[in-house]
Amino acid sequence: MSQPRDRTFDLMFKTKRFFSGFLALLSILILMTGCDDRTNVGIGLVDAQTEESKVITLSASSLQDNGLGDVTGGNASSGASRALAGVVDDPVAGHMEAVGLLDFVASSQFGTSFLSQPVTFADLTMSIDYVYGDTTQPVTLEMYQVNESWISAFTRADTTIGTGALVLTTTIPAVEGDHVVTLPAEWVSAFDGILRSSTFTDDFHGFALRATSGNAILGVGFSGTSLRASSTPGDTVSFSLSKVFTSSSRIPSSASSEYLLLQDGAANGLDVSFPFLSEEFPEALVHRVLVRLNTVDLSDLYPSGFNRPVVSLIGLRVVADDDVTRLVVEEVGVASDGSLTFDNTILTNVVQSVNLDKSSLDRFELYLPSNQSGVGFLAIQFGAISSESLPRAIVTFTPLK
Amino acid sequence: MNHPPFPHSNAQKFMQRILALTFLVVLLPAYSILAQSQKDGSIYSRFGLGERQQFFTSRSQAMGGGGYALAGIRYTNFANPAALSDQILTRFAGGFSFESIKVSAEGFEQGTVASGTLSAVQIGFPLITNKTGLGISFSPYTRVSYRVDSPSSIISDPENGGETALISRFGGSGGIQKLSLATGHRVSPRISLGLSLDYLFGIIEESQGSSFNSTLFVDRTVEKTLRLRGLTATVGGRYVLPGLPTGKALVIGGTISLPTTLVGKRALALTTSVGSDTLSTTASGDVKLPLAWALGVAYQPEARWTFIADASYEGWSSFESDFDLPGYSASSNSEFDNRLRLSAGAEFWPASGRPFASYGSRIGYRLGVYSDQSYVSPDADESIRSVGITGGLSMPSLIRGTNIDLNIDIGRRGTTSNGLVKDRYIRFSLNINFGDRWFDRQPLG
Repeated sequence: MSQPRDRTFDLMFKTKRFFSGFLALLSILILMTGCDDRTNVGIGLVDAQTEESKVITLSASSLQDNGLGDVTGGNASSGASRALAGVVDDPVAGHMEAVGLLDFVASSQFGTSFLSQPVTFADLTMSIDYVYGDTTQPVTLEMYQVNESWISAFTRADTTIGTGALVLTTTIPAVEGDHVVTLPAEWVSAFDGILRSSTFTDDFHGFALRATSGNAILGVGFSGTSLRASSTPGDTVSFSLSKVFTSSSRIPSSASSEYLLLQDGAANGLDVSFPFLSEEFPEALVHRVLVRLNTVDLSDLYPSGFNRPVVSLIGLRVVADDDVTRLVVEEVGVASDGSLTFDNTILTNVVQSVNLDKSSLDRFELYLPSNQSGVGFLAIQFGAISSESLPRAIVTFTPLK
Repeated sequence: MNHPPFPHSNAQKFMQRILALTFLVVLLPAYSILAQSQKDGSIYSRFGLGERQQFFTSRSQAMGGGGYALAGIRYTNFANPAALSDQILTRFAGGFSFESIKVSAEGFEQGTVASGTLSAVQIGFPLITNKTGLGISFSPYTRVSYRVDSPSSIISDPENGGETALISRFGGSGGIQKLSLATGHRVSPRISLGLSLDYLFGIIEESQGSSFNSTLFVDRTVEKTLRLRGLTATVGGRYVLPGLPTGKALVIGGTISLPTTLVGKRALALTTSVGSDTLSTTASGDVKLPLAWALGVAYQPEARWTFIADASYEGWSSFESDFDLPGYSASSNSEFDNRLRLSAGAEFWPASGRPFASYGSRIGYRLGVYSDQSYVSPDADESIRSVGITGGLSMPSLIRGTNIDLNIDIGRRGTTSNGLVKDRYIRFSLNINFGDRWFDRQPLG
């Protein structure tokens, strides 16, 4: 019986040895595959059928006002900084007028004595943190009662909110700083119940500020602006600024053939389009897209004493063909040479999708971020000075073939 | 009653079957690794449906690649389905080949690439011993395997200057596979006929991309994937010429493969470092493969020597495709060349008919030459021709009925004129061929 078993073991041993040898040879063959240097091996045959990466500059095919008012309503947490009020004749932008709305919320607990005694005194501290215009003459503001509830979030500058009775008129120097106005005794008496009510936030709708003279627009900032009320014999409650809105309008000066204005506050955004479907930009792999614009320096057109706060950030966003969907590409500052360059992968990916006909892109939109809450503007060059000064997209791509 | 050529113990049979099955289990995953990850073959494989492949047996591979008239019981010959009538044992066969290519262009050597691929996996067995046989073969029909990197630089912001280095990458992989179910029948001592049903299927992938040496750029690659499948058939016949003295044999054989239409789908995908996105709706279309025929002659002056000569022709000028392919435009009147392959070879078995001869005498020695004019060329004015010599050793293993074949193929392909490249290649193949009796009826008592 042992002999067949020995033969079986012998065969198994031989089989194992044979199979191990085969696997070793197989492993050597697999490991030997590869390439010592594949660079350019056969590149001549591929080059003949493909194209190298290229860079093209596509000048904007259109740049125009989109008629969309800037978002000027909001609160501190939504990014709004201030409400604007005033009137200014700008040498470039034309006549601008802003009506600011302020609403308040109780910022401290009401004391027992405040609730039990009538309010005898109230004042409004306005923290002026922004001045646009002629700083040599004061601005006269009328303050109106707002009688109806209003929504600040996402409210645009071309929205009109009704106002009530005139509360007071005050004249404010066109400089930054706190300005305190005492509210009339009649107003205090009329609003005594609301000021001491636990439903103050629901019942009180704020003030509207409208300029009657002067040549400046003033900003009333969140920080430092408050409404104070005192009751006899002497308990004071503070109401802080809760939300703001600026309703603004503009009568533009004669249009320039060299530039378009991208204006904050009363601003309209600017729509810009590029010929991404042109023949010089065939179906391709898109590797980088820069959108670059030149601004025009117009400071020489302004008299001394005319203050123009600098617009610090400009945004670019994608607008889909439903005219609703928007995607922020980037917010950038103006370079020292006056140019603006948007350069990120969102932009590259959007243009890639457009190139491959997989995008719902309708246009790009230039905007000023709402948290700047000003009326400053940028002049975007769009004249026939030269094609190099037009808004342009610089695209790095590899054509597909 | 037919006697087995080797006495087999049950233990030996068991081990042999385990070995054969393990071989298959190892072979197929290894093939998928090689086929999918390697892109280091000839740049000529980029064009058309890829580089045409044919593997019938390791025996014919070493004899120039033909073998349409080859007869014999040691191998299951898929060159001609009529040859499946020769089978006595159940046979598993398969193997790999390793290829190293030196590429030169314009008089300069550009580099060396190397890759590995499956030769085939085959199984054949007799339905009626030495009269009717059946076989299944899985082998590449075409192969795409190339990878090219081209470094350059670009000034992506002409207004501010500054060069950025980039590498343009091109690659291709995959190919069409052939799964054949073939049968052969000896209708008379001199005439055998056969039929093979061939299912052609596969995926051809091409990629083109650019990588930049800067984070300001998005590296992108577009991948085109073409899936094809279709059925064709090959009929074959073999005739042993009469009138030769005893011990000599002259055989002629031929096959005709029918034209067929492969249905296909092409998809484009864009990939970046963060993911992949299908670019367009899948395009569907047809690819029409041409009629092919082959003729061969085999002469055996004595048992130890065999000589063969073969010619095969594929009418690729009638090729049509709804898909653009490298070197072929579906919208224009571009067309491929007809493929003509000529080969010849010789085999010497010193110990033929002497199973107890020394080990060295039981080794088979083979030699062959071939010329293969490719069906596709990057340049319409230049035909791409491969010429080469082949050789091989067939070594009996410790397991009876099982051979290990080591083959070599040295050749060159293409030309350096007209901006083309010349490949000088060497291929090593390792094939294993198991033989066993699997379906014997055990005698009772």
